[in-house]
Amino acid sequence: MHYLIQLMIEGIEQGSIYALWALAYALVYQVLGLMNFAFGDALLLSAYLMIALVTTSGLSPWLALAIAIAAAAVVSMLIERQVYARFIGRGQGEAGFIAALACAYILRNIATVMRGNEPQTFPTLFNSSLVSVAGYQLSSGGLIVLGLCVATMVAFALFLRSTKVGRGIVLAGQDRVAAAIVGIPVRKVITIVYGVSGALGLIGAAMFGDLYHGLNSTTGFYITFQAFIAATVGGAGSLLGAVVGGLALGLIESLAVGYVSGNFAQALAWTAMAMIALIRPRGLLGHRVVERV
Amino acid sequence: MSGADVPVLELERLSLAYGETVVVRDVSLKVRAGEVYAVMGPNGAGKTTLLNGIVGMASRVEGRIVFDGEPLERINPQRAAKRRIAYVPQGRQLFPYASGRMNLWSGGYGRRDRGRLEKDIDDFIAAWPVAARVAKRNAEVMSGGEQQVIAIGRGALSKPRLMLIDEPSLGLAPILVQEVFKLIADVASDASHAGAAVVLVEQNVEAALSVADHVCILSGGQVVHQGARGDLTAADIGDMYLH
Repeated sequence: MHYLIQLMIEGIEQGSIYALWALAYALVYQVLGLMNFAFGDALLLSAYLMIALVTTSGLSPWLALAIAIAAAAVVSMLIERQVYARFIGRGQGEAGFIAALACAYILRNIATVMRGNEPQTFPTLFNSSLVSVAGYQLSSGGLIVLGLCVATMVAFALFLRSTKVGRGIVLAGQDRVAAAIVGIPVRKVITIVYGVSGALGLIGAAMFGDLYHGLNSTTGFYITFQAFIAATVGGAGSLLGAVVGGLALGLIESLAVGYVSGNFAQALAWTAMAMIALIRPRGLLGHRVVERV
Repeated sequence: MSGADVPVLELERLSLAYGETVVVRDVSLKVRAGEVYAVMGPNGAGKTTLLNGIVGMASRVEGRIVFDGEPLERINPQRAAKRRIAYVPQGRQLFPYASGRMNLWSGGYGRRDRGRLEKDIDDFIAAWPVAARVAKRNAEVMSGGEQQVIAIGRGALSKPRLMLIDEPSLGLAPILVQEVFKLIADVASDASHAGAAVVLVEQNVEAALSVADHVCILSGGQVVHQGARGDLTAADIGDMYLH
């Protein structure tokens, strides 16, 4: 039992990062119904920028993080404006999908030109040590990551609930025609959504980099697919569902590492998520479809 | 002409199309603040297209749309909302996973008086029991009548100069039709902002005549009758539908 709880705590720490990615990913999906397969590589490029700012320019990791968050927002908004906007409303689903993958590769190539193919050591944001709480050995860095991810999600929820722009995002995500009818600037909202998604995702990527002390050129795809799976299983139309999906993915991975093998953890986690999707095709918290009469 | 005499909306020989297909031809009408202009006619007469054309959802082929004395150019639903043109489309188009209150709030998205907006929402909910009943309920689980009250309320909370309402009685129980038409009359006569001009598309002739000041009958995309409410009885209008 002690071991199980230890694994679950670690799973929740890991899952909070996935939850942040899934939330950022689901946000775009909710407003546009578009799978943003360039999501992770936009974050990778911005995270590499952060590494470069610290290692070559000597900037403090926290200042570099702030710049990287802004960079992730700008890169995401540029992708939306210059690429995805051309496919919206034109019924070119496959073309949009291919364009997203092409974007992902372009961003990854830029990142590798910047920093090379070798794994990159991530700047330390928190000095981590082991702490003992009620008999459990916990990493202080992991707890800080968990706290920051939760704080970011709570702040984001407040932004959506309490600000005019946040409410506009939620409403445009439900019905873009209705949003236009009441005067919500849908085009502007979509661009903002990409920017917010990039910024949220980058915070998750930085927490991930800090926890594992490094990133490599395939991390972008890894982020995209973790976010995609967590958001889909959580319920692609539900932001809360995306958070639940992320936590579930982290928990399953941690249990797989603890009870089976680290080598199979991701395969087992993705298989488990596929089974959940099979049992609940709309996701854990996906919207029901209700016929209006 | 004094300010009050200037029509809020004036259509001058307006023709509208979807793609190559011309659906509305040569329609002219004027609506002033506080007036309800009912547009009636059989299915396929072009009534909904007329409303869609005013907010830019159908292409203008010929003619002019004049709003508050100025030609309405390069319009789309979002710009229309900004100019205080509220559109209540057929099917209501509410936000399905938002509460009644949030749907009402969305109507005031373009308003700058945020504090006043919250009070206006409270007043609306206090004045209309149907709205009070569904204030906390998501639109997806509301009945058609409840949705309609919220949809018209959403439009009203934008403090519109012009309100376009498409088939509000469609699929509603008679008791709710009465409630909805009371609300439409209230929007037109709202003393807090000198009333809105209302263009009402409706197939329920008696309900439409209960609130209309002017009537226009469309058939095959063209006007077959236009005049004051008293010019025709419900039976006359019924005959026009058949011929």
